[in-house]
Amino acid sequence: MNDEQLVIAIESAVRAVPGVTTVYSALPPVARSALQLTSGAVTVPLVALVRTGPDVAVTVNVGVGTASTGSRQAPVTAAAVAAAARVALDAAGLPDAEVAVRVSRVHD
Amino acid sequence: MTMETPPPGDDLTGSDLNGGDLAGDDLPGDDGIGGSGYSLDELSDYLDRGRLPAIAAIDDNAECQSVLSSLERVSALSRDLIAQDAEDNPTVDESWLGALFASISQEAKAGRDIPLASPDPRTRLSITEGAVRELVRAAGDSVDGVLVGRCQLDGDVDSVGDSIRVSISISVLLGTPVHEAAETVRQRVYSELLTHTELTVEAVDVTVADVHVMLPGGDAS
Repeated sequence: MNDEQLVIAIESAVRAVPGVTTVYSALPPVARSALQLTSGAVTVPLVALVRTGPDVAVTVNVGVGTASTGSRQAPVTAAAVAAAARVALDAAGLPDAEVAVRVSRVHD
Repeated sequence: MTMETPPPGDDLTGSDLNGGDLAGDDLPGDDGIGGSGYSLDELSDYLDRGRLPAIAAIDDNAECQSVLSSLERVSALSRDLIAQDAEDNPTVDESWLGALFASISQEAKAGRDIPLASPDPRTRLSITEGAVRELVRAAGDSVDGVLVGRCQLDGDVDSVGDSIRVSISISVLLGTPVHEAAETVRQRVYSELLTHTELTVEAVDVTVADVHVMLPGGDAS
């Protein structure tokens, strides 16, 4: 599995986590546009994966639901998102990867 | 009581939920809301079009989505007012709405990352300051007759469990029991923060900064 496939797998796993309403771009809009231009890709993955030497860092940016939508507390959902990402990373042979989960919205 | 005015430099030009200028195009920055390249006016137009055709730069941007949610709540209030009898059917003071939209734009910025506890040292969890402000604003707006004007989080949020003080200014619809409304806002905000953050909330200060004095024809209150 290459990195492109891996971030797609992570995004898919994250979307399946109960309480996750949206996956937002982990990259700032400018960086995302620049990446789109330089790579020529039609779409840029929402999950960011960065390799620095042997180290791998994954960043996920999500919106989560409130109790009125049947969702759990935001910290609980965030932890579940990290766990889901880690399952995908473990499957890709990257158990030591750093995972950052950022909750950017909590909404109905 | 008067509504606080927006900070100097904000080019508010009045407000109109039906497509007029909501605020200066340069709010909150030349790169638009959340760096999306879209201004508040353009987001309002997007909302009016039913978010169609879909624009990924808006739909994938948390700050844009936060602003759109706030605009929807204000629009709902406007529709409620229009539904009232003619004598009671005021138009919301435009300068007040302008200030409100300026606050919404500025508070939608992601701001600081507020850490959440994680037992795994390889994992970092956080919630953005913008998300917390949106949570506070939505909790306040959920109280009948209340619209949140400004929301401020005071205190360091560098570590899990840090203490903050929340300051909110609200505007209350004329006829709404002010003290009761403010207390309900305080309780709902506190409850939401307790549920969705790990901050220690020292206090939730609610200031009734204005009463919606709705005058026919949109004259200033």
